[in-house]
Amino acid sequence: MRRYAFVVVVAIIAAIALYTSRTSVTGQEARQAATGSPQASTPRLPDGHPDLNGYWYRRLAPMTSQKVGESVIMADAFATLRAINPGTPKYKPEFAARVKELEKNQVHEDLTYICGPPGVPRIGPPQRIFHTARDLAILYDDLNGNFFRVIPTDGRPHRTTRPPNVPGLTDHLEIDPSPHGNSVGRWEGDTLVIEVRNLSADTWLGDNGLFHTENLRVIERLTRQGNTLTWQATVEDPEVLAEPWKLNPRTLTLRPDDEIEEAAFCQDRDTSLKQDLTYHSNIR
Amino acid sequence: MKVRNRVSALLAVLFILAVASAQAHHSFNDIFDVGTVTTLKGTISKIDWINPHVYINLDVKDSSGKVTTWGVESPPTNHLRSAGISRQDLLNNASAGEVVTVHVNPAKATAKADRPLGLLMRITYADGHFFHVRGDPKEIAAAK
Repeated sequence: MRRYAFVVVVAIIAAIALYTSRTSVTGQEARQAATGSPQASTPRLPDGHPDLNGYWYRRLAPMTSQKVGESVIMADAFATLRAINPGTPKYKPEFAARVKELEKNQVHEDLTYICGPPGVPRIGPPQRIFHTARDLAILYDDLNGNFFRVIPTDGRPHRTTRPPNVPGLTDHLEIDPSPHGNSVGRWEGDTLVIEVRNLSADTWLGDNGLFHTENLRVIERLTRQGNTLTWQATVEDPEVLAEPWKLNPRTLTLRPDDEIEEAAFCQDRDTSLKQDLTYHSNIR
Repeated sequence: MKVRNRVSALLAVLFILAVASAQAHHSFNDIFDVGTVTTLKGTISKIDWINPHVYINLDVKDSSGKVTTWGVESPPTNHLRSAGISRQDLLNNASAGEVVTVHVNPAKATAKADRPLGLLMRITYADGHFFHVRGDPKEIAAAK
């Protein structure tokens, strides 16, 4: 009996180890790219904070493609993208049915299927960062288009209104909720903590019907160590989530010799096929 | 008995892993017949360098000389670019009428496609160099 228990424990440990090796890309992304090393010294801006400038490579898949002469054998990009496992949020029991229903109708309900913006945190980790002492801009060349976020880091609060454009008009214009919201950053030691608010409810947190409300708040943490950047997001939406959802962190590597490119035009060509489409991996 | 216990415990673990793996599905199987490899020979009339899928427009001539344009669904632009394949690399000598061999999984009869449609596995150029983007190379070797 003791022996049986031992075997079960060993089997469970083996299963966890196997599963982790399949699903966790944390650190693996870093290992795959030769340029990234947490051991390298971390450059800093004149104000002493880590310098987050750069083009940060966040995908594992294409790095494993092979070139044979003039030929290329591409890695299974979807298999490796699926291996990026952000985890799963825990909804309040009364919303479980809605998540399931949306998941079932993902093709029709998910805006990313018609080239819509993915929103935060679904857009994933930063791709290109421009960083000054006052603010930080994140650029994304996403599958669905070009997106950007401008994030003050000098104590400016979240903007809720903007000045009027019409001469004589004094009323400020309220800023509408948007897919990538309104962000403000502050430093906690060497980690930049970004709080995102004013997010519109028409995006999802991820695949499989992960809806949210306009009360969504996302906290992102960016930590540079040498030539690696770790991104970790936490999602708070107490109206629908049973508890804050802490996404599994992603580790990116600096690509000093590369640069972000303008995303290709996104056009949904699968419309006529949609009735047959049940699911599509949208991990970014 | 002990051996059987050990085997059943391991089988249970393997079963759990298999289920977890099967759940990671995506759309290809819904639209395309991934069990069938179709070999097309034709000329590239146009490449739609768009997301979420690049499309190769392949003009295929049948024995009577009738030309049918196939839509060949290909990976997104950033996947191709990251693998070192540009739009020009895909076109190669298309402007000179180069005949290319394209292996695809054809769309299922149930897919309501408005033209013959295939999911790209491999494109091979006149000089023999190729871009293999998906699937088992053995299936391509076995295809006619």
